[in-house]
Amino acid sequence: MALLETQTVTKKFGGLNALQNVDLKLEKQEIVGLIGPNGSGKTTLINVIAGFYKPDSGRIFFEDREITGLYPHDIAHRGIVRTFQLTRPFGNLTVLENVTIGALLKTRIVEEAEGKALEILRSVDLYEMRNSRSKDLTTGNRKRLELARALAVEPRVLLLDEVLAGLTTSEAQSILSLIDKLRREQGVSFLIVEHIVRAIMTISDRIAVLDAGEKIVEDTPESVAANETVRAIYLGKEHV
Amino acid sequence: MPFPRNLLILTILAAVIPILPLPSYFFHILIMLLLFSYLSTAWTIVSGYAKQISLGHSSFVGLGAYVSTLLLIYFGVTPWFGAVAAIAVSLAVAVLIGFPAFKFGVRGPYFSFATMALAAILESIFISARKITGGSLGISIPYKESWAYFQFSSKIPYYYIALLTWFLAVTLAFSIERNWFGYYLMAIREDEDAAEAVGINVTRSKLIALLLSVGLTAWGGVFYAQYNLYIDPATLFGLPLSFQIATTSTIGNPKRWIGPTIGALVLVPFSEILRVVTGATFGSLSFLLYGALLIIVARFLPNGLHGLMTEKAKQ
Amino acid sequence: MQSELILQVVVNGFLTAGVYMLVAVGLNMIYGVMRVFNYAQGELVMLGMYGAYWISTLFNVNPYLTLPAIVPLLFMVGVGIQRFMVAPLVKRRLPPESHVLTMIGLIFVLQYSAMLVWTSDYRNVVVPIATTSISIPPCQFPIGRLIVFLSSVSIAVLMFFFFKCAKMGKIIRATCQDREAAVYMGINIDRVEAFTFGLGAALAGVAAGLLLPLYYVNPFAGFPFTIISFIIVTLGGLGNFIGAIMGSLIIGMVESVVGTFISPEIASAVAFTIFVLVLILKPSGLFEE
Repeated sequence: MALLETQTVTKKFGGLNALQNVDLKLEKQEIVGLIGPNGSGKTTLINVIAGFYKPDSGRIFFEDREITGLYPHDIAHRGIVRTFQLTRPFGNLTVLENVTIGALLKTRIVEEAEGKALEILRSVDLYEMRNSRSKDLTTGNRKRLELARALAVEPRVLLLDEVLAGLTTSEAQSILSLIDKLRREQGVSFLIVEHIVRAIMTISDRIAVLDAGEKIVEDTPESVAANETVRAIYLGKEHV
Repeated sequence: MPFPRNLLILTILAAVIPILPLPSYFFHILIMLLLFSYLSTAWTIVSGYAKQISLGHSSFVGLGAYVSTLLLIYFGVTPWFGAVAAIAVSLAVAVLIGFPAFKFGVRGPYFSFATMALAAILESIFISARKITGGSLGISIPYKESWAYFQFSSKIPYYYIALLTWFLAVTLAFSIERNWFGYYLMAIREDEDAAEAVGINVTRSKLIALLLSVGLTAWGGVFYAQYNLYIDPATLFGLPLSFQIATTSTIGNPKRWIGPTIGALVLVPFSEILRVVTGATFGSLSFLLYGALLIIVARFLPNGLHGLMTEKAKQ
Repeated sequence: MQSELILQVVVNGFLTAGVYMLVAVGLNMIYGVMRVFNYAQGELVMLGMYGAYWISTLFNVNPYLTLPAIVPLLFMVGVGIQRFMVAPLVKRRLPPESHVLTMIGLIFVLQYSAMLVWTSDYRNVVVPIATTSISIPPCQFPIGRLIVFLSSVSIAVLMFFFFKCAKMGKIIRATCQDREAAVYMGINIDRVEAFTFGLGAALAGVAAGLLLPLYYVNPFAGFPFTIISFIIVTLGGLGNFIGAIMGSLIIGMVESVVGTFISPEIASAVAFTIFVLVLILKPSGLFEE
């Protein structure tokens, strides 16, 4: 079985089929990109995997154990951490406090957690801002904080929800380098939801395309880019 | 900063005050001050740190007072042991209400309201059960001075007990602030979903905070009963007490261990002075100004008076 | 005869519901538009009752006739509260605790101002016609409560058409549904909020004028209305107009049935328990929009 696997996951909201029989696999140290038009269910899938929604049918497995229907905090414990599309920092707390809270999952000693947090802040280039109030940060920094906080939890799988949105090209580039580094050096696997198609094409091992809750295609970036159906969905638009 | 020096100095000063030949009334004020600081500090652990705002904390003051008093009157149980039972009962009620509430995501004004409802229900129950509790006329505790029965003729022993329990409460609050649990409560206060996403068991943390708060509060009720020697449902389960506890902490700073104490330092003498000055309309004017003060603090001082003090200190 | 009693109890249930309906609808509206819970709604009723009392004793008129004065007065009080106390909190993006604190402060200010001016003595105005009953066998219809019920229903119907047809009504509904969109559409949110609060207060005023002949007023008489309204609005779904009406009927019926056959205190406990159950099991309310 793959490291993370969803089997025929379905989720309905009232009359709306947000997800229909979605099968997705993520192997160790893999980066899978998840793309699709607005409303295709990408964030819903993240929510379901991370435990914020319970699927109506289907199952989810992580490291060969079933995690369907577990609470988000349990899933985070097991090693799957998600970020939020609209960043959700602990607003009135400082950058350092935010990341420290993430680190406290693995160590109950505040000083140790703070130490870890500082290291992570250095690696994402937020060290200078460590004492700033997180709600005062720019979008770019908020995204980095969101990532840093997730990293502090020591995840084996990171579910990133549009982490590049609102960033400048160079900011996005540095995040992508960071993701690559994490994959290589720490063996973290990624499921990345993105709109910025060009970026995700370059970094992903595989791409899955969702449309109206269904998985249309799952293949290498080149094949997906050439795929007729996918092109039709995107109406041939180019994203920067 | 391992342990606030200010707290130690304050406590030591407070401990030596009784050396001076001060009138009994003065100690009454101090005891009330300590009691309200204590109750508000207990409140703030769940309502300030975790932002589960309880507007019905009088439920537990009342339960504490009534359980220990009823055990004393009917079974001759010393209040020291009665307190244990009182705390146990209060914790049980807190779990009964808190667990389903937190598990099913009852938040914000709904939670506040459920706590108010609890206090109102308890008040009705204790009034209805006239035969046992004396109804709205309350219970007078027969005078029997002794340590075993937690009664003293002088105010000084009460003062020291109040001082000790206040000290323990603020120490607890302080240590929570510094350790991982306090950080988790802060996370919950800011964003519950984000907290879940980083592995915090939000329901359990809220419940622990609630239980700590309730346990402390119940003891406050026992103390009040033994100090006042008279308890009645309207005072003990009533809304004004719940509001007073909540506002005392909020005016000071609900997010820090010293906030409730500062709030009490301002409000308790304030209401006493008003009470003395305005004579006949004793409570009314003080509550009115109280209300005005709340409105002003809410608008201009989101971090309470303590927040104001620390900002001024930074400048 | 058992069936006569049951019928009377049901009738009482409707009449009681009428009393709560006015206050609950006002509260609901305020929440719908501003997402602020007016904890002081009951105090506004209390103020209205004192106002009616004062005017009717001063000028020796029937309390019902004070309505044309009380209602606009309370409207303005509502606008004032919104302008000076609620709006600044929203503008400065202060957290919800500030709202709660402000509301508690307001409650204290209103209650104890009333206490200072009118003391805690219970006041009432005797209106003979209100306490007599019409007899439509097998039930008794106390005229005072009948008036309240009929007025409530009329006003509820009026409000229904107001929301459906009147320009301002539609604007209010739009703002309830999507505040941001309303702003983009050029709706003056400040005006809408002030008007809504005023309207909610005005409804409290109507309730006050109609209730004075029936009840004693004292400074703390308002708070139970707030509590009941909160329960009703939760039952019916926050912001749901029809829900508030249905909720009132449910609670009115519960109070009447339980209050008559068991005891009034248990009736309150039952109402609270229903509240807690709804909160846990169906927090969005029992009725769909």
